[in-house]
Amino acid sequence: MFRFLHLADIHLDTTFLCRSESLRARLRDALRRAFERAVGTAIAEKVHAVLIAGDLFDNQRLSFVTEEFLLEQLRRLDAAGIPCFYCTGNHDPSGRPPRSGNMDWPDRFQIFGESRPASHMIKNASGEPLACIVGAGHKTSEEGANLAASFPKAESHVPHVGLLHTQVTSAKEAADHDRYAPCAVEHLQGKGYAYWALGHVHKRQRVADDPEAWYSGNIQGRHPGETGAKGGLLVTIRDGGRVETEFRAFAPIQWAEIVLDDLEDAHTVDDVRRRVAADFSAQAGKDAAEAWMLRVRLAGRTPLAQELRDPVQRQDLEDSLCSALDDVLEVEVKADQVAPVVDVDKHRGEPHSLGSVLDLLDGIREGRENLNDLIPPDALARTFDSEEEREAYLHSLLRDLDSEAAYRLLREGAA
Amino acid sequence: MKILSCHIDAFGAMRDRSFPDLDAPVVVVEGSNEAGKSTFFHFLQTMLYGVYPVREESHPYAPRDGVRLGGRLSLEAGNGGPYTVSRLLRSTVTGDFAGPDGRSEKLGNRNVRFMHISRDVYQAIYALSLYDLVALQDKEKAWQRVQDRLVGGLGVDFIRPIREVVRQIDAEASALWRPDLRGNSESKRIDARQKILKQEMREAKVRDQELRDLTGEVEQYEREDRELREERARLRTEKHRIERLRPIRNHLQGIADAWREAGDQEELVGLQDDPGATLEEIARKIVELDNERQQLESEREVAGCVLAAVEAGAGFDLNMPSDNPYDGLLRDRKRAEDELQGAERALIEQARDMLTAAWDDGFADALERIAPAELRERINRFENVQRAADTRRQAEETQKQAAAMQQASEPDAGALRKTFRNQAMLAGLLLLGACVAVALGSMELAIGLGVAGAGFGYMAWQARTQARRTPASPTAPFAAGRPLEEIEADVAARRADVRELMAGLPVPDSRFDRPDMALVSEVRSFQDAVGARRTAQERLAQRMGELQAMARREESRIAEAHRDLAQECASLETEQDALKERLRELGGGDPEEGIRLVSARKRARQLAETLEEKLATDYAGEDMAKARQEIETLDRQGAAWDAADEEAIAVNERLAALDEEINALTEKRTAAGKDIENRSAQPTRAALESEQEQLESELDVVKERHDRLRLLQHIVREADRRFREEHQPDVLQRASGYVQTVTGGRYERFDYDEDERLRVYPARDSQHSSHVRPWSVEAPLSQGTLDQMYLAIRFALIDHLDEDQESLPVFLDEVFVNWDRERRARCYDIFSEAAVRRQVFVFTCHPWLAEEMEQALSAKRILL
Repeated sequence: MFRFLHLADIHLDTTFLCRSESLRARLRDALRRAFERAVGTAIAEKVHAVLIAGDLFDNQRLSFVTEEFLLEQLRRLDAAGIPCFYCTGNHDPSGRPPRSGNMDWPDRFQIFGESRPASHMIKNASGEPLACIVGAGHKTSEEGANLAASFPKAESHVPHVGLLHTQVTSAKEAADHDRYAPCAVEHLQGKGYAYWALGHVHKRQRVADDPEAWYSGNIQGRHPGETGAKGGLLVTIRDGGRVETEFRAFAPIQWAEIVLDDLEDAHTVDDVRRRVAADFSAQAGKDAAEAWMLRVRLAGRTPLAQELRDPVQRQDLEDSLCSALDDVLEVEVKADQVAPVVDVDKHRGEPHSLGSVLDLLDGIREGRENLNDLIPPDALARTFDSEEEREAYLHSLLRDLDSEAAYRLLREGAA
Repeated sequence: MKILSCHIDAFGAMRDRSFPDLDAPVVVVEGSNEAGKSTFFHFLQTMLYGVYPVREESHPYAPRDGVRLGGRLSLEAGNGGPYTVSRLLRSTVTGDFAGPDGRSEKLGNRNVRFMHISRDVYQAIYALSLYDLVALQDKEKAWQRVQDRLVGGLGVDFIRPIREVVRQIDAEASALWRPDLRGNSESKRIDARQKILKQEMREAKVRDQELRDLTGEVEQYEREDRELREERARLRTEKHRIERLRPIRNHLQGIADAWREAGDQEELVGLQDDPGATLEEIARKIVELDNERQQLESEREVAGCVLAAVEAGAGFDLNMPSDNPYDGLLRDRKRAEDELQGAERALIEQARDMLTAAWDDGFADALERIAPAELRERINRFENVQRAADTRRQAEETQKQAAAMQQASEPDAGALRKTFRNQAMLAGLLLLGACVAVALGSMELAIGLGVAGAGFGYMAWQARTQARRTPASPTAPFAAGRPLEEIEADVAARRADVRELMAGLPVPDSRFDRPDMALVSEVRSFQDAVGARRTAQERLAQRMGELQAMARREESRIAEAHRDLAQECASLETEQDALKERLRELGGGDPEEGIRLVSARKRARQLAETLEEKLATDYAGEDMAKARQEIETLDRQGAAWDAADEEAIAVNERLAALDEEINALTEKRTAAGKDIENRSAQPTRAALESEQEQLESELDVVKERHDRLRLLQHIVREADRRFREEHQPDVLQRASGYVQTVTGGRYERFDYDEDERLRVYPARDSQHSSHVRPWSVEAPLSQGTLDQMYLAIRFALIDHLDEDQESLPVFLDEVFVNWDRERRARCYDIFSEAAVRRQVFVFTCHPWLAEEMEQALSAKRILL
């Protein structure tokens, strides 16, 4: 039996998106606590190895304090006799180390920094081989080659574990990540490997079952898009080759996002507050977390559009939610996509300015009008590399613009 | 389109009302307030556009008495007619539309097909109320609204002016982002913070490197510190060996040497440190004892002499040493002897004065038997009897003499009385002086004066007594009484009593002739002398006894001391012999050598003990066992103990230098540690970049919000531009026609200036045909002119909307109520022109206005 802890995308010293510096500091601390817990779990579970599938670091941002922390944790593993294998990823390519100068790695810390796969045999106390770790790393931050394809076939009956930072193109949310060292599931198959420990996509998922190929996901969510419990996979390869994976949560803080886009019947901000509280309770009930970072995304037409767009009222809503919801550190309410409830259609084709605006908007959507012609480039804050990009961007701004226009053009009470 | 007739089944308060004669270009609906004008208008509109709202309970004109809202309307279109519309509000709205051919179609709640514009627009444009004109009184903004509403928005009142909307969007967008970074836009705030952050990130990068450098420095300091501390520990061991262990070791060696020389001290038990001195001391003591014995002999002789003298009863002229113990007692005895002799002398003298024979001790008993009180009593009795006898005798004598001196005067009595007075006075003065002396505390003087006073008193009393006796009865006959003889016998008897009491004493008889109180005093004095002699005798005997007792005690003590001296002497001699024997043994047969050896070994032992005490004192607090262990260890290791002083100095100097170096290193390390601490507390690049990304994210949102607003702004402006382009020329052309009509040709046409402000051109005259200047449609044009222009534009707008469509009816509600006749007359011209193409409904509560319009416009009057 071979047992190991599969971690990936730790992104030490990464950036965190939230409005308060104190919370960002808490999130940075949470990331360290998550890694500390991972190490503690590895020691407690007496694993044979810890595998880190890339992006241990986050670009060249490694601070001295974090480096000290990392080395301390790796020394804990080393002291427990647990080897740690780490392959470089696009955020920490071997050609651009996290900091200048050599780091004082412990003896049992092994780096796969070359794009050409290398192997390392793990043996038990009596010298019998337990598993063979085959890994390859990114040399640059934009590794375009299919590294998985170059992994050698397993040559013995010892279970082989592939360690790679890659974008399996068919993986969920793969599109959210840059396409580095891309591969397809078939590139992981046919090599006789027992398990692929993958990194890059932050959403934990199994991308193949024969052989088992997993993204463990990152160990601490970094922004509102990285919701759900975060941690690592405790993997056991039985003697018969059967693979068992068990998720272990390490992240002290969990991100959650609640989207409410059906607020047409919400007539008071309290209605919204109750809806959010109910949704959050349902979500928090599913995942245990010590603390939460909650983003509430409000969208669609609502009679409260004006109130929800008002920063002061939105802040009140955020504050009241934060104090009402247990263990929630911050609530961010995004209401830029709410629109007032306006019967737009009844004004279409009418002989007045609004009718004309709606006609124009219809013309834009139907392609009769060229958006780029309607607004000069220098009127926009964003800059673009091409007309197409600009036009696509402008089209993205059209969402609910009919309602917005009607809301603004109609006198109060006329909507 | 023209409304021909209608029937109201139920609408508001109206029930089953028919209006069959509406078929006229101008219809004046007349009725007082609350007569139902508004209800009638809404009924017509409901028939044309459907029931709204569709829920009966929320419809303002739905009857509340259970009757269904409904009615019928007949109309004529451009293509003929009549058409009939009927509607009924149940749970849903039902409607039917029947054409001239009689075919009916389900209309539901849709509007009649000829209503080519929405209900809202129709209501906003085709229904003109007094309010619309009153609003024009606000000269500041009225015509701007007119332009925006009538010309820009084709008259709908529920659309905000485009310019206002565009301005608002522009302000909101500019508050978010501006291309020129002017003002205080949100993006500018973010940009400013980003610039600061960039600088802070550069500093953080430098700081991180400094942290690493400082940590390296601290590690280097710690290495150096370890080395220095190791050296210091080594040198301290050496210093310890030189400065602490070496003296201890020397000390210990001295102690060991001394003990070695002292040898087995058991052999010397009982011997003094200097046995020679001990021997000499013993010899000296023996001599002293002998002297003491001689002294005791001498004392025993003295005691013997004393005893002999005491026993002999006299002869105390002893030749005794001056410091003998009897001196005090001998002096006491001598004093007692002297006292006895004095008493005896006094007794002899007393006897000589009082007795007829020399003193004999045999008189002592007779004398002591005399009780002075008894003697005084007997003397008193004698004196009383004697006085009586004297008195009797004197009386008789006096009687005898009186006869003889009958003629003679009594010189003696007067002299006696005078003497009495003098003496009494003197006695009084003396007693008074005694009292004064008592008061002054001089007791001796008081006693003297008292005694003298008493003496003179007594003498005065004697003189008085005598004086009294003297004149008593010089001539009186002799008193009767006891005979003198009897009295004298009594005197003799009383005298015998006195003598009897003093029997045994050889007192001369004369002393008993007239015994008085002086005799008592003498007896007492005599008795005292006898007593004094006896007391002296007793004291002397006591002193002698004491001397004897003391001599005997001395003899006993001396005997005992003598015995003790003899024993002590014998003991000393024994000790002397034993000591000499031991010394001889220790000295190998030579006592002198023995004395020397013993002294030397004893001195060695004392030295060892002194050294041990000094060691304990000098190294109090030192773990001596540990020190001994260390010394033994070092000895085993062959350590050199004979380091030169220069080496010790060098070690100390080096240690001092090491302390300084270590302190300096510690300071550097502490300073570096604080620097590390300070720098570690500063934000890291990750923290700053997090904020940077957060700001980027916020900036993205800000930009997107800005761009969306900006896009909306441009779309609204473009739509407005197109709308105006499409509608304004026609509207303005039609309005120009109307304005010419209503102003009688004074104004010709409307247009817009560059700022899109509405202008009106006055008619050209022959003189200034080429220089006509337009006027802005606003004050100072008169209110009447402006009202006309408003109506002109309004009707032009309506005409424009109806272009190529059905001409829809127009409703005017009390529009002219505040106009003067001239203004109304001009407006009627517009009506006349408009009524050619469309039906006009005028609502009023003023019959005169209805009548005027009936006449001016051939209007049909409908009375509600």
